[in-house]
Amino acid sequence: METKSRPTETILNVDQVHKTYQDVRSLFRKSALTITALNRVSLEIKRGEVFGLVGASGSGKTTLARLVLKLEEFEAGSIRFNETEIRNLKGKDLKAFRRKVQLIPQDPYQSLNPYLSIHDTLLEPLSIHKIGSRDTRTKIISQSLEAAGLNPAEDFFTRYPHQLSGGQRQRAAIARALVLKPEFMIADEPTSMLDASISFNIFRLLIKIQKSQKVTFLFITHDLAAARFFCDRIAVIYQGDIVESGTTEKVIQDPKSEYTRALIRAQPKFSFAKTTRPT
Amino acid sequence: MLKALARKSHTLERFLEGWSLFYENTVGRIGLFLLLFFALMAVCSYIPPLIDPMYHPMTGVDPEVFRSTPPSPTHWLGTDNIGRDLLSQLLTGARIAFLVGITAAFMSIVFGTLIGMIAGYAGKVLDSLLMRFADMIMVMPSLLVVLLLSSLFGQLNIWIIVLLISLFRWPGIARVIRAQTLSLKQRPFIDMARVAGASHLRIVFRHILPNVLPMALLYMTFRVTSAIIVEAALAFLGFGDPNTVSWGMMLQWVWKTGHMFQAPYWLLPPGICISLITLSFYMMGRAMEEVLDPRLRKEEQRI
Repeated sequence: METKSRPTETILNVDQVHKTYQDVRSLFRKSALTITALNRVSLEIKRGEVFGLVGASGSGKTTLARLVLKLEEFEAGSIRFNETEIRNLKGKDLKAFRRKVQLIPQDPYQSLNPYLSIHDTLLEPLSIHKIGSRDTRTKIISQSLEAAGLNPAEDFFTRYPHQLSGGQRQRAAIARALVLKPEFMIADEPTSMLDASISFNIFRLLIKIQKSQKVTFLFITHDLAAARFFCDRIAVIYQGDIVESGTTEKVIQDPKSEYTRALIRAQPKFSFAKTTRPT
Repeated sequence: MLKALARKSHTLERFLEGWSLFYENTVGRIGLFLLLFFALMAVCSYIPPLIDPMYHPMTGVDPEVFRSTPPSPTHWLGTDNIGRDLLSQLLTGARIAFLVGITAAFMSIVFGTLIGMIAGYAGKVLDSLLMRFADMIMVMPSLLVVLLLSSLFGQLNIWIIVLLISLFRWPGIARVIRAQTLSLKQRPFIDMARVAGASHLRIVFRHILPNVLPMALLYMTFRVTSAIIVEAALAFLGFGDPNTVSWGMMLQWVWKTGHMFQAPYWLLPPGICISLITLSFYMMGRAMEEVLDPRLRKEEQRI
């Protein structure tokens, strides 16, 4: 990890972002229950790095990803991507932003439209952004599929999501994120629905993509070990608050907050000394 | 070169694949054959008047017949009380049933699907407005309203009846499509489309429409049946288009001339035809649903 060059330019700046969800059940009592999903969260991601956001379920990490992707609005604060505030992006500017930021989704079973073949799924971003001619599009699609480890690409063109395995679907979703050649990718627990050996392959694939395409990654996970494996810097989020951030090694070797220490303690370890099961 | 050709014929390939899936389905095959039989009847309806003006379903009268007669070599299904050929009436009835059923159902599907998708996708105020409007139309007793309209304006043209049926029958479809749209809207692949930069129009027509289409088609078959039944009911009650022969009209003539229990050869064919044509549309719908929904398909062998 130390061998990597220190990047300096900021690609994403999240500043004091506040997001609450209101439970509006009754007509007369307007907000019976207000849930603070993100409590004045700030973080900064440098170009070219892999930034990990670690937290338990319900801690607000997916909410943050949705805000950065402009899938939801937020109440206060600002999110700047390449020095541009994304809150008021509309029309052409929003489209340009969409081209640069892509998502690798959590659930490979739900994130592909069952009625579109893999070819059509990957073609869609290209036709939305009017990239290339017919032939170059086909070429880009093949390249993306192969980069995501679906070889040979042509075999997958006419397949539908239900004809793929979980790992293949996740690779197809990664290939879709790649067709636009984004600057910034958000991977929202990309392996949480896959089993361990496939997860490992997906991680290796993401590292390969990060190295070869110089993409900046925001990697969201609940797994500290995965974050250590993959990230340059991490932030730990707990109930909507960032409790700790810094380089991965520093956070893990010398945790400042009680929650991070609890997370580290909770990591399962193999112990070869243990031979009998306690009764 | 071969690849380019394969890509060009991709649509054709998809169609053939869908067709073979449909044909493997027993229910679909029975429905299709029944429907083909009725289609054949509808086509054949043009023939009898050409043979002899006596066989014209409305104006043709056999000069030798003075009361309803049972089947005979000259009149294969018999005649009605003024000597008109029942077979040619039945054949023309098939034509009218197709016309009324398919156009009314298609129109109500277009209205219902569009309004349902817009309401479900837009949400909030537009959703409430459209759905309350749908509720208002849904609670209107459509048969009664059409009866009132036709008693106000005299006998209605068949096309006006079709329009009225479709205008009264879209809310049910709109509700179903809206409910589906609401659940689809929450699915991650819609978010993925937004991340890719898709416009609302693209999301609605490229991502939501194909997902609701099987349901819409299934409801179209229901609407075909209900449109045929409403038209038959109107005609039976004497409010049909007097210039056309429909199966409902034939039933009305049986009833009005007091042959209900005297002439089974006159009463049964239109009744059976109404039941069978509605059944065949329903069976077709079920089979089509299976073809259009890839998740219902069996995984095929790939080489």
